[in-house]
Amino acid sequence: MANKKIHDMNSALSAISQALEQIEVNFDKDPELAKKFLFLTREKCSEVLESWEEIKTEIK
Amino acid sequence: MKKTISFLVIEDDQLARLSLVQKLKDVGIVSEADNLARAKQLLEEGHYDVAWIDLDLENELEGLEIIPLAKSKGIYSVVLSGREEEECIEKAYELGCDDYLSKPFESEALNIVLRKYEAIGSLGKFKDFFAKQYITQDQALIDQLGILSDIVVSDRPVFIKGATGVGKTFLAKQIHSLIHKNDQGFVHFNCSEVPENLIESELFGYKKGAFSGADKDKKGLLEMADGGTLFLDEIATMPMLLQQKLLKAIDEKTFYPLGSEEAQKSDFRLISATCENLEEMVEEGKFRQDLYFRIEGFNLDIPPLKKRREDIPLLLKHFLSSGVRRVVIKGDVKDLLYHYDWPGNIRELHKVIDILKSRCHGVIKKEDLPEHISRVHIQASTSESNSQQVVSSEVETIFENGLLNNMQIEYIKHNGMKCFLDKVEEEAVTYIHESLGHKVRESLSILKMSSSSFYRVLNRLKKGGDDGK
Repeated sequence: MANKKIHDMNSALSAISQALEQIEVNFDKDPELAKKFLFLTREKCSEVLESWEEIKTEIK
Repeated sequence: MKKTISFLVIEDDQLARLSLVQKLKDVGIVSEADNLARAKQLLEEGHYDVAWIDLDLENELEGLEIIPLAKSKGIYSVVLSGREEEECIEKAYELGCDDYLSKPFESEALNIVLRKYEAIGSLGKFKDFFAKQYITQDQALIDQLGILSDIVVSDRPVFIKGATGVGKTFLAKQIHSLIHKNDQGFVHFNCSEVPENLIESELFGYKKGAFSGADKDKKGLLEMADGGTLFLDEIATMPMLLQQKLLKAIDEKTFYPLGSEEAQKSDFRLISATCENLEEMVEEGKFRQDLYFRIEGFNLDIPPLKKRREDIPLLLKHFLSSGVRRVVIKGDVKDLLYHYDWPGNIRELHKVIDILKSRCHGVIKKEDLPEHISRVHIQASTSESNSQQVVSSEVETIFENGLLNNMQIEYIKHNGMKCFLDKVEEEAVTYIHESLGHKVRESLSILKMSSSSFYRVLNRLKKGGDDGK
């Protein structure tokens, strides 16, 4: 189970780093799209924080 | 950029999917699926070139189901997953995925996949080329082509092994054009064709005054290959002293032209080729081991024609169909050509057919064949050992029936034995030397004669030719 959480965390961090790249690219070019990315990125960051807490508990 | 690639992105995570779709939109048309059912539906209904597959969809490893489905539709399948377990990666490749990319996913990975996909497209054309010009049905050889898509996205050197006349230069040119899309920047150097003392100046170039006769600067081939491909043909014949210098140039991508103290940079892709057994040469101390390790990378081994005799009828058909004049071969002649060992491989076969086409009256008969081919015994099995035995037994039969015909005996009566044997030598040397593309070492090995005798015959021929002028 911890393995699965680590994979999910890995995927989520990948998605965040890709999204940050897209926010930078689209910040001036397509602000609407940048906003959409920003919103989804915030949600993903909260998910990652939650998962991280769960993983820490499991590791302990 | 013209959007010619059709992508299907299969990813359940909205953020990851959106990022990938945005990136791919710049180079192609993108469709997306966020679950297995939708992915299957799109694959059934649409046409896609590249599929990006996340392994964990609604259920764990669900994406694996998509790989065989995508492959069955000829789609280039890329798995994009956070999973790093070896068994998972192995399973994905077993099911047919072309690339497995780990998350976090970087933009460079996307570029690599696109370059590989492009190479596969060219590879299709390349296979077509093999089917129509460099004809082969040899599955092992065709399978080797698969490595070309990896060669394109890597800087590693390419090493081509194969007997003379099998098409090593052709292959090197194809690799270059796969990478560079044209023939520019392809520098071909045959190490066996240039005298040892000139190889260094040819490769590294020289500055004015570097040696007597160097009245101006000369660019070396290494410099000319900058940004392109340096093809070192017959690298086994490279002198030992120069091997050290070449090693440095390959390693550091810098070199010193003769007479210069200024290092010159050259970024080239190295392709080397040989018909020799380099491993053996290394063991015998005739080739530097460190250089051998540097030139190895992607290794291609082209089998000789006698190891893929099934290609001979196809090649015959191809060579006969070129040109406007139609020529046919009698059935018994086809058998003889099939059983002959072709030491000069495709080059020799091509040359023989060209000669026969110009000589014959529309139908090539046994009498039209060169003697060494018409002597081949058809009862031979295709195995190499058997064909060797047959050739020896055939030679015995020739001796039993008498080797000389009446005209030859008359010639000896008038000109003497020495003159006759000289002619035999000259004809044998000319034929073998030409059929092997003027490669001395291979000619010597087939003729089983010393280099001094060989050059003596060549000089005699040259003098004879000069006298005739």
